[in-house]
Amino acid sequence: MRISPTEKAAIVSAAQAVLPPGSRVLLFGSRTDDHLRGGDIDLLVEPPAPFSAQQAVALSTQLAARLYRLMGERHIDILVASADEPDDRLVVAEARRHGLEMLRT
Amino acid sequence: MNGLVKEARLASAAWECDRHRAALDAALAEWHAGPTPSGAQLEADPGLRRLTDQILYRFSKLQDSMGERLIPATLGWLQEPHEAWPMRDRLDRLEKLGYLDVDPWLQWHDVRNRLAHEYPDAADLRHAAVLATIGAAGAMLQAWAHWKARLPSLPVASP
Repeated sequence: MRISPTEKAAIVSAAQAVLPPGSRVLLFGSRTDDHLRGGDIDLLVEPPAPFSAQQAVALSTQLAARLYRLMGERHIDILVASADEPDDRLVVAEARRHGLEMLRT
Repeated sequence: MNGLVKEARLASAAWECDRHRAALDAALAEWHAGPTPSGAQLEADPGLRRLTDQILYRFSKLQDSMGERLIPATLGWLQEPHEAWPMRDRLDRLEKLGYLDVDPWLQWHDVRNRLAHEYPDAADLRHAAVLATIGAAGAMLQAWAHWKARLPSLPVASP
């Protein structure tokens, strides 16, 4: 996992401030590969309860804004997918298969 | 840089913001004149799609003008030594001075990033992202109006 201690602390702090209790946050994409350099920070957020698409957009926007506050405006991509609901997006399946859990709120 | 040059730079940035404000204002008024369309209605109606594109375009342009032109011009006019400051420090300083709120500004940054994704496999997310942008566009207009009210009378006429 190529996340600095500062970045990890920012993600934990932002997630705990914004996400509902019981949410899981996974890091996926290039930052999980120790052989690469740089790259976006890709996060999959799994809240414990079902939610609407508008709630998903609002949640990821609030989390991203908090992360920008803590880390500066770098490229962060956040996906939100309910832990208990099927999701047929390929990128969500990929994130669930290969993502690394960072925290649970 | 002398005071006149700083004021001219600020006037130019404000004029640019006002150009986008006028177009965005008109597009949002047209959007809000009818009921909010569903995702399917939006996809099926070329006129609504053009209107949405206009809102998204002007939202992005106003954000660029404020971020790239208005922020440095305002800090320069206020004689803040901002040239070497990262964006976060510029935003924090302007928040302290009462020009903006940083949290919504950062949220608009994410809303803008989200527009880069087409969500081909999630029509509901596509629709939600459009609605979030339209909400953010209205909030950005209010933020610009608040900012402009703090500026002096500027030499370049507003459109």
